[in-house]
Amino acid sequence: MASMTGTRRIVIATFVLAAVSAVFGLIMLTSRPMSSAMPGMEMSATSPAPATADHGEMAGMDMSGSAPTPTPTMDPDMAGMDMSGSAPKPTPTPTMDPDMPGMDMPEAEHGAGETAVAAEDRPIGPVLGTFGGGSAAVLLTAGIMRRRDRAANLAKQAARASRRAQK
Amino acid sequence: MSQDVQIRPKDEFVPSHGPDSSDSSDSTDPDDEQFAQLPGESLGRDLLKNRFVSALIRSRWYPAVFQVPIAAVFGLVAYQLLVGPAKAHENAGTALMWVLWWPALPLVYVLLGRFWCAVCPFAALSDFVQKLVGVNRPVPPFLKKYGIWIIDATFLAITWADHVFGIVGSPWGSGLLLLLLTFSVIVSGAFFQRRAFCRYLCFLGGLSANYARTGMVTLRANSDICSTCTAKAACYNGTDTVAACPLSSFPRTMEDSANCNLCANCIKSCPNDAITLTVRQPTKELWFLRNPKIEESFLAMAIMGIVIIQNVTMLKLWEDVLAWVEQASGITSYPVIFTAVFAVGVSIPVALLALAAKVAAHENIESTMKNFARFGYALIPLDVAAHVAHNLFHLLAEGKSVFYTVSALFGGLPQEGSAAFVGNGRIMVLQFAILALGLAGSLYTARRIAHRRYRTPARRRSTLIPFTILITVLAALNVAMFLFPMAHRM
Repeated sequence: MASMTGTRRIVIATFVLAAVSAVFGLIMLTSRPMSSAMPGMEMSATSPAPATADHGEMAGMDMSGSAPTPTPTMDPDMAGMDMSGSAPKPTPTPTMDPDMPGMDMPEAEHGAGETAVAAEDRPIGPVLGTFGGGSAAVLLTAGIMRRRDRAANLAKQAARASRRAQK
Repeated sequence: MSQDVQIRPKDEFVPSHGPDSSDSSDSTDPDDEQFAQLPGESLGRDLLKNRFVSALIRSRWYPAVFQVPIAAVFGLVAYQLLVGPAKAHENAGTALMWVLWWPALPLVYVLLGRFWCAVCPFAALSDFVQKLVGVNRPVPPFLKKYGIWIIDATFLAITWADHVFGIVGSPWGSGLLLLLLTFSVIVSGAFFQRRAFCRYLCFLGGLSANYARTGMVTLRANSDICSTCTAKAACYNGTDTVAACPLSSFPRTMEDSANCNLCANCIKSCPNDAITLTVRQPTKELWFLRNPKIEESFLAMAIMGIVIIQNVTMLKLWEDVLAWVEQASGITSYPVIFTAVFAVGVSIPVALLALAAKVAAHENIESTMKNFARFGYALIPLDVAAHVAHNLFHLLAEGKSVFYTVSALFGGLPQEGSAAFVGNGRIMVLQFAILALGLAGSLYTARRIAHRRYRTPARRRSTLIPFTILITVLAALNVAMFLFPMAHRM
């Protein structure tokens, strides 16, 4: 590595960045977040949410920890009774204690409102593109400056040597 | 794997040495002469005499043996934050970063000083970029002069942004922060000498520098051996096989651990075995500071303010405060309200220290600014304790989420149980015990500083009273806040 020329370093840096950007691009295109990809993990739109304490006693709305079991008379397709493979997860409401087991409220710490950006809404392409492009520009600029510095040093050394030779 | 060798820069600077120059210029102070002649911190047992420690530290694999696994985990964290689950409590990156790493960090500083900075992935990245394309320009004088103020401002800005935009609570926000830091490290490594980012720009570097002063491990040079050295500061400039000191510290004149990350380059490059690695009591370094700086004292107080704000905003009381402010002022914008509260919260400890310094200055001849600079350091043990106590809650009340989320990554089933290791009651007892240690450390440090600086009992007493009151008030404030239940991070 110590004998590597400036040009080679620049080329390597560019290739490394291009490869990293490509890898991240592939990741971006192929990966889906666990929260929505895992079966039964997306609860935000379908799970019944208890609004008050009374709802805990409503038929079929027991949120004490176990999944509600449909009785023979109940239609499995009833609204709010999605039984497609997972237990409905209670959604926290402002009246519920955030410290309740299983009731983690990610934003309770700050009160800054909704901050969890849905995975599909993340502008990951532009962000990584800007990061990769900016970093590549910095590395290329630095590589060119380094090359010029070295060339200038070599020129100085040559000039000094020729002056000595003239004497 | 051989250790990366940086191109040896021309001497960037040699740190100043000796007693506080501003103090010595104050010819009216009768205690100056005695203070200037006092010996520095005494050194304990040299750990390098231990065969195992010596072999580890001098090995070509150190610190790479720690850097490589940490860099691998860092890669996983970055990947998870950027493309993993959107919800914080499902994201392994968030759990590893904010529930495990962030709470463990201050503990590392107390035990090992700034060791984290030696194994930090950003440091490795900076070295790599430097080796690849580094121009090695000297650090601009502006950065050298105002770097610590930039660090202060960055630290405050990141804390503010966390509350307003949600960095900790949002994996995407944390991921963007990592990308921003990575880009800054690339820029710094590409253009400037050594680890300019770590020393002059990293917001964590400022905190590390302050906290490392309480650390139990310290690296110093044996001045008797150094006075006969003919190796042209190999410990500072490096050799053909060992890199230069990344943080531009010169062991021969180094009097504090703020800019030593225990990378061991100086140990490896010293031809005379003059470097020692000793164990000491926590906070000991603070008792012997000769050259206190206002900006470092300011940072200590700002950190205290930040811890207080972090605590306040995690209390259920915070919702009531927000509602009250909304009602009283008609302002409904959270960023506006929080910015006002943040400004007040950070200013309170700074203002209280300024007030205590002013009161002390009436009696002890020194100026308010000198008192502010000197005794701000006495608050660092309480700072560390409050920081550890606050984060202990996250570590112990949410620690299992690290196992849950990481095991889910590798095919484990998502866990639904409580993420707590121990109950809130036990955590609270531990928090109070840590705060008590911090209080004791701060009071003792203030006493040692006053006794070392001033000769007469009257001067010592009149100086200590306001600072003792200040330390007690801030400790009481922290105790009061830890009495209330806190919200979880995950």
